[in-house]
Amino acid sequence: MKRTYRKSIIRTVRQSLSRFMAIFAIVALGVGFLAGLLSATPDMRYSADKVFDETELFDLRIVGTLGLSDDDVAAVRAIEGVQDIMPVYSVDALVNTPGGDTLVTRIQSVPLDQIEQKEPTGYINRMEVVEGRLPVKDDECVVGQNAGLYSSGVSVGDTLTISEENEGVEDTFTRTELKVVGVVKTSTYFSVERESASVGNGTLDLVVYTGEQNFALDVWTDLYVTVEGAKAYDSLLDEYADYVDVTAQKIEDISEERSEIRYQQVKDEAQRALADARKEYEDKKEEAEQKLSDAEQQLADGREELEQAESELNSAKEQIASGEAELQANKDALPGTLTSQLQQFNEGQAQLIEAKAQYEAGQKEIETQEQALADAKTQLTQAKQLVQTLQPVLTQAENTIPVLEQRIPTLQQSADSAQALADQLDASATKSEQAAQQAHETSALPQLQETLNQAQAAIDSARGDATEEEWAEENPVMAAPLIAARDQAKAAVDAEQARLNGLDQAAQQARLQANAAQQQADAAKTLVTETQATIDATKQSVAETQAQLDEANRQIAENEPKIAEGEKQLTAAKQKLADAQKQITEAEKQLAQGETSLSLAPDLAKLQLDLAQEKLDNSKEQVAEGETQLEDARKEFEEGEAEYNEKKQDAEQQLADAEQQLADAQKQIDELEVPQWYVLTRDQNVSFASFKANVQKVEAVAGVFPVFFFLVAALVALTTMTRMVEEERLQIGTMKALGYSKAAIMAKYIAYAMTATIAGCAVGLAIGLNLFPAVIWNAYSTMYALPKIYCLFNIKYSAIASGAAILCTLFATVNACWGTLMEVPAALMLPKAPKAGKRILLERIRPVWKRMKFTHKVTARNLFRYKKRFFMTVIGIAGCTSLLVSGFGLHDSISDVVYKQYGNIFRYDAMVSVKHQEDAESSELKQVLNGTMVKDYMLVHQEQSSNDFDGETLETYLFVPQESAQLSRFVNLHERKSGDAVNFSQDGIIITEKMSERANVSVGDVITLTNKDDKQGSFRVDGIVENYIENYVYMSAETYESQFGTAPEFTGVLIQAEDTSTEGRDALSQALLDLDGVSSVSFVDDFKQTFNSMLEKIDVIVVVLIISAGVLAFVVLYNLTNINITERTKEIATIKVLGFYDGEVSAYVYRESVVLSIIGTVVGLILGIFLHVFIIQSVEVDAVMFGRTIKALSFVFSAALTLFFSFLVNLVMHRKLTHISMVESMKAPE
Amino acid sequence: MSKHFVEFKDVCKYYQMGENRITAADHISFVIEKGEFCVIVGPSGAGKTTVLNMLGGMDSCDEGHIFLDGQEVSAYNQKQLTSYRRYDVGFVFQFYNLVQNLTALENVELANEISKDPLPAEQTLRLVGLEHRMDNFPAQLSGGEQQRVSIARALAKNPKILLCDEPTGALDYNTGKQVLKLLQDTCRKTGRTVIVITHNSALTAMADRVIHIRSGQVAGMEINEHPIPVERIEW
Repeated sequence: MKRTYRKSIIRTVRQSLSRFMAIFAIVALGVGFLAGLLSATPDMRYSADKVFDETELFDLRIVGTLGLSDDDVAAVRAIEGVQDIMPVYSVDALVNTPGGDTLVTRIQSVPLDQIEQKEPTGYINRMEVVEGRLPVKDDECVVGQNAGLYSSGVSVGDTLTISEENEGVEDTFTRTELKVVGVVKTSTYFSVERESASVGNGTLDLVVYTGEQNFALDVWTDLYVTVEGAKAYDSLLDEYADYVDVTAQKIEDISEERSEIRYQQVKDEAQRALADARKEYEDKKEEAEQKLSDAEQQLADGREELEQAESELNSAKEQIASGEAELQANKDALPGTLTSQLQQFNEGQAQLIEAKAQYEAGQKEIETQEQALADAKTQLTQAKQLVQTLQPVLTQAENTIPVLEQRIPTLQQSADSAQALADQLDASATKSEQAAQQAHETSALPQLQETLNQAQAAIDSARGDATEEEWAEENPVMAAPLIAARDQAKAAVDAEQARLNGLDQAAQQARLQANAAQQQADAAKTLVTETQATIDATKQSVAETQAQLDEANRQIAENEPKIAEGEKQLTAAKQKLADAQKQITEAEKQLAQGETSLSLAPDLAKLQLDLAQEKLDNSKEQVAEGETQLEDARKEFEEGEAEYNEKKQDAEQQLADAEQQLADAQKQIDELEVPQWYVLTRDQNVSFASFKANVQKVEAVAGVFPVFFFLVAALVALTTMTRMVEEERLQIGTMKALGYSKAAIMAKYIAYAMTATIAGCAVGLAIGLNLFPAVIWNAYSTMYALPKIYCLFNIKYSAIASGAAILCTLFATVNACWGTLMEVPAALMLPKAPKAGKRILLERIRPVWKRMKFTHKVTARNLFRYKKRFFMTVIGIAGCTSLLVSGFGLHDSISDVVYKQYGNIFRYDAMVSVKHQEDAESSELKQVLNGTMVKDYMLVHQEQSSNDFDGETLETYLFVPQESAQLSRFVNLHERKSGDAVNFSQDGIIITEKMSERANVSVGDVITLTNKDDKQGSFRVDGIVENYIENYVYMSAETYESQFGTAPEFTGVLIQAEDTSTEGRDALSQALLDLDGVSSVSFVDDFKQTFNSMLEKIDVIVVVLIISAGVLAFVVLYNLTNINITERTKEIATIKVLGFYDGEVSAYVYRESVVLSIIGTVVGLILGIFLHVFIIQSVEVDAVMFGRTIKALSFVFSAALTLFFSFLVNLVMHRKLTHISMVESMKAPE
Repeated sequence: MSKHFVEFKDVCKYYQMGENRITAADHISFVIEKGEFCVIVGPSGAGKTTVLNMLGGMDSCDEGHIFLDGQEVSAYNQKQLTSYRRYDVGFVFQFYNLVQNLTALENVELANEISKDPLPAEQTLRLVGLEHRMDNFPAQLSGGEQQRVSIARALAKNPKILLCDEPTGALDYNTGKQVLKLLQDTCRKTGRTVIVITHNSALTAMADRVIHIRSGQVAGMEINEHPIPVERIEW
């Protein structure tokens, strides 16, 4: 290509950027959509298969009905094509979580010694740690993460306990407590659709992996096998299945032989076990009988013992009575004894005192005697002394008497003289006294005194109030004689007084002298008397003394021998006293002792009594106890007796049962079937199969969406290139004239279109290949615990999408150029004859046409004039609208599932599963069901039924109400479209809509159904009802029984709760789960929540659809308007010159795109319905029918959004329109 | 206020071309009286079209005043200018500028529709001698016929002035003459002011008034007391 020519192309691109962008964008959109959606499937397959390969997911799984022995393992391992093999124990059991839940759990063994190895062998279905770590110790385990999708509530650190409720826990597990150390991802369980389980409600809640050591089983339950070379295949494709099937067949081939061996083994073992059991039974029977007879003996012994005890007790009672009496007697006697003892003691004491007194008396006697002896001696001595003393005295006194007798006459004389003097003096004194008396009687003193008083009175009256001195001074004349007279009187008084006093004193003196003389005379007289007395006395005393002396002398002579005798006696008495002293000391000691003992005696006695009392009380108590014991013993004995009887009965029953069991076991052994191996592939794994089915659905949808984009892309390219060629008509003519070949000229346009297309492809692939698989993957992550998706650069689909896009634009470009290039240069140099206006059909309808404004007529003609644009725009807009409709519709449909199924069709709040029909009819359950929490309930039978319809297996539930009449209260059976109620008949069945579609069955047809016991029955379809989740076949109990031959077992209870709040539900659930027979309670609200979370992810798809639809609409409308404007620049300029206002100009131009948008929208709405139905049917799974209707609001939204996009484009284009210069109108036509 | 029907008073128009300011109209002043057939003549690039644009209300002047029938057009805003074009001006383009999608009649009616006091479309078409081609689309008409439709469209609006931009530029000699005759007759018969812009000075003879434009200035203006019928003009 020439340089200038290339330049010209680049310039063209630059000048017509919006045109270039239109092609680019629509190609990017189309290619992105197509390549993205197409490669979603392979990407999903690749991503899943990569994980399956990485985790060594099994290719085959062998399950033996009687387990698989190590020999079996070896046999399988020996098969050619088997790469690796992992035998496992896999047991479904109820497991208690710390949170109090009981989960239906699959406990599966993993080879602990291999899992941490770098290159492990015999470790298939490898686990990927999500949290925590892999188990190392025996008591550790990990839980599968898929549980996270339906929240098991188990987390790392919890301890899981294998419930006691499980049958044969000890035979299956060596350990019942497992510590969760990690959460793992596995490729065996990753779907929200759960595997079925053999315990509980039959649906798996949790998968636990733990060491093989924790299992007590002697054979493996499953063998997981990987097939050599299978990894090379994409496991979601048929090639893989075919490849693996070869090895599966080989395993099948040996299975019969192995099963036979196993059969024999099991049978022998069982027979042996039975023999052992029988032996054990016999032993046990014997033992039991022995035990029974022992017990009987024991009872007899017991009775005897009891009687003996009773008699012993009675004697004890008697003893107590006597003891009590004795004690009472002792008590009564106690004060007497004490008194007598005291008396004795007192007597002893008295004796002692007496003895002491005697002793003291004796001593005193001795002392007296001694004194007496001493006195006697003293007397003797005194007497002797006296004798000696008295002799001289006597002599002297005899001498004195004569002296004294001589002195008396003298003394008498002096006494007489003294008396004479005294008499004289007395007479003189009497005389003086008389004189004095006389003086007094004669004295003038009273007269004198009177004179004085008168004088004084005169003075006092004269002086008045003044003192004598004052008066004297004031009145000397009068005073002086008065005072002198007074003083004279006074002197006379005083003198008289003095004379009298002198006479008195003399009288007194004389008396005193007389008295003294008298005294002397008395004294002298006394002396005479005394002396005479003394003489008499002395004479007396001489006589006495003489007598005494005589007496003394006689005594001395008499007493001297007596003293000697007394001394002798005294010595003997002293000896006696010493002995008595000794005796007393002894007695005293005894007495002290006696006293002590006497003082203790009462306490002691009391103590003894108390002790005795206590003893007695104890005895009494013992007796009472003994009595109670006896009573107890008797009761016990009676109980024992009763128990014995019961036990005996039980034992007999048990023995009978055991016998029956043995018989049964024998029967079982006899009936034992040859085991079978099931060689399962990944397709039988729920997660894998569900994922595979869904991936195929994506593929089905992927092809539809991009059709719009490609159609539109082709039309966009065509219109754009046509316009471009038209614009450059003159240039083409010039080039041709210059000698460029057609190919060279066309090359420019092709290059232009290709540049846009290839750029669009690149961008489209870059976005689409990454976006769409990821969005779809994300939507599916509501159902699967998926690893991340690997968005591959899928060459095949990229090439398909890009190739298609390139072909489209290439064709469009060539088509656009062809006509022009065929013209001769000369013609090209002339402006192209304007395309003739054409009459349109509408004009024939004169009344309408006439009334149309000319601007409208222009629009109408334009619409039909440019057919390519018309189709481009209508298809584009219709595509946009239908994408929106299907997007919103998808949302509606899925939300319908929940609201219609659980709001409109199923009118119960919860379903309770019980273990047996008896549990459903138990009084405990009835009590709850009839209680305040439950509004209404109904018993039903539900069982899964797998049926083939035209080679397709369809899982359905047989739904049999106990009372057919009640059904309508719990399930609203009606036809979907008409809403007419479908009546439940007694001999026909009602099936659900999805089932009728899948099985291609209509009302009146007769179908064959198989029940869980593999019995078959034929049923006439009476009605087809609306239903969204699962497939149901409703039939009456009578119909069921008549066709299958067995009566249905009503183990389900549908409940309408009174309180549907969370609290109310919890309370009801708790009340129900507390009952023994109830195995599960499931609430409708829980399903609703699961679905709602799914809906959120679906909304991502809706958003992607809206954005894509928006881009589509934008590209189409922008392109259309752009072409319209550029092509009609001159026309627009002209009408501007003609004086059209801006609004009128815009309306003139936009009317076209608005009308096209509306047409496109209407078409799109209709198309959307079909697209929606197509998508829904493609993505639906067997178990779920999505809603078939789109809500009116979704149509409104879709249309509004489309028109909004249209408005947006017009808004953008308005600027361009106003910028068209009127000068354009003057230019020559191109 | 101008006592003339059309008056340009010291009208200037500048265009900014990069760094250069080009003076497209340099103090242009002229008057045209009502009912005159006026020819504005000048060589290419002299500023004829600028004058036409300003007079036709498609462009505004930068300086000076433009009056039409007592109204100052130069003082109008965009909206008023549109109204001015809509009601006061009839425009005849060199390349007819008919809407291809409308018939001859409809093209006329298109203009009619927006006017205040339009002439009946059929009547105007009859006036231009196209009564027999009324239902034809422009592509089915010859150039002269198309130009006549264009004139009919301009007339139908019943405008105050008829502005014709090189009306014969795309036509052959005879057809051109016929079109000019039509314009002249229109002027004479209806008394409508017709302004023809052309580079062909031969046409000056048929005008009542000739304004010469050269280099953005009015080079001269003359009143032709005795305009010659177009048939007698040769070029």
